[in-house]
Amino acid sequence: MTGIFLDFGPFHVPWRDYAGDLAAAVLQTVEFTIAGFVGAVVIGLLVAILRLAPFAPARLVARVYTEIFKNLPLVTEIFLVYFGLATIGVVLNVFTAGAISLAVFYGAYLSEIFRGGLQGVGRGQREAAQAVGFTPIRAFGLVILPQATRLALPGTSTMLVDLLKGTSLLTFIGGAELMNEGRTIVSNTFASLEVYIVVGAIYFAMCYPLSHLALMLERHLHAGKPLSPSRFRILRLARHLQTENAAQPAAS
Amino acid sequence: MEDIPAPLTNLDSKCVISVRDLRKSFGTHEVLRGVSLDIHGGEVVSVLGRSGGGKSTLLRCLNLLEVPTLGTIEVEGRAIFKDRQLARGAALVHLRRRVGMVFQAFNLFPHLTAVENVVLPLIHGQRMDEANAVRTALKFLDRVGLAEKALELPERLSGGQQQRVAIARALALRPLALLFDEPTSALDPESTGEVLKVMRELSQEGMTMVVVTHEIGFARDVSDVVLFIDDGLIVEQGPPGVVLRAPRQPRTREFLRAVSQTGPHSEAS
Repeated sequence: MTGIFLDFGPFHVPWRDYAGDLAAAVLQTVEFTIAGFVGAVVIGLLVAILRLAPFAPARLVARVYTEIFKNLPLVTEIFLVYFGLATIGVVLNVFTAGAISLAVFYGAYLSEIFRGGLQGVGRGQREAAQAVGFTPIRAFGLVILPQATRLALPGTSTMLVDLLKGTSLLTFIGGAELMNEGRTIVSNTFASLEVYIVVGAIYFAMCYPLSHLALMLERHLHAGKPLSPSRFRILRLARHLQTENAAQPAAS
Repeated sequence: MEDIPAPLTNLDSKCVISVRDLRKSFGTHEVLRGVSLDIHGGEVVSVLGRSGGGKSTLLRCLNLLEVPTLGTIEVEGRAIFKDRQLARGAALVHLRRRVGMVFQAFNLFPHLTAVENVVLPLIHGQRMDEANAVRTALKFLDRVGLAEKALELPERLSGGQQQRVAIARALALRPLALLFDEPTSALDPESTGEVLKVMRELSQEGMTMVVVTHEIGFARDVSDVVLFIDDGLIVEQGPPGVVLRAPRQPRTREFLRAVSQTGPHSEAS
């Protein structure tokens, strides 16, 4: 079975046999991460907006949400959603339960980060947006949100990496993600050291580039470079017209 | 009358902003205690007075950044605030597009280049298409002498340049009137000169302007009407030659004396 593989000391896992399962587990981890993060961003933004709402009941609801889900362990939330809800008739499959748990938990953290970002945009910006005749929705979308995003980006990317690692806890409900696959291999081979080193390395290989990507995005935005196609078009046209106009006086 | 050349500013032209008995309280503190004022097309109105006297509040009420407590404000004959009823929704947005505002702290959108600061209100407020908006924006940046800075972020511009971009942003919307809230108070003397020069040119082109300022020189040379506001009331009002040279109220005299001694750099004129 072990063939030509390293077969001394604790290192004797036939990795080739597990390659397909590992790949599937990595994919499942990515899927949990994406579903959980998208959900967390939506919840985080809604709760952050509620936290800043002009009327008190909305603020209270948002506050209670944040405090509850921020202060429970993630595993507890996972068990509540998967096992707990089932006892009152809400039976969720593993993926749904896992994604909801992650979204709810990280949504609470993101709401705090987003609130900080939204509050960091000064009153003068809101007034200027009003003064140039933006509707409240446009003012939010064109002026407030882009600036809040810049402020919230470092905290948000940290949470994304944390969420990716947090998917490993879904092994306790049989999440079929990377950590779960690691445990399966260990139960077959008893090579805990080797398996968890490899599993750890794969997590690292996913998280490290993600942090760097976020850092690059931060720099890109800080330099005022465009992300949206519309900004890109506007800047290109402006640059074109600018050089054209600058050339004219010299020509005439 | 026909043979008399039209004056630079036509004081008989129609009233564009009309304010009646305007009051504004913050909590129990009444900042404006009944201000009435007519601003005519092409007129430059300078608003002077001590800090905390209510001049900025008055200005901010004119485009409803501040909601008055009582009184009436009409723009182009349409009431935007009357009997505690406030223009809302589309009417409010329309008003803001008609009356431009230039802030003391410039308030450019820092995540956007100079040209985009001017372009976005044109696209999203005036529904101009992108190509037209960019052309218009560059024209107005050129108008304030900043065409070559179009692609810079605000943080790369000096205070005076930022304020000129802010003026271009307001001008590009082709407003009925421009409100200036201490436009040079955050600037060094050189930048102040740049901004005041642009404002002088605007006044010569007949732009209706209401300017809250400490620049006595600007008020004297450029404005048609000088208001002196203190303690929430207009205490003196008239042509600059009268209000600034021969003020009737002791409070006005005192203020002018204080400003001429310690006040901001008066421009060379």
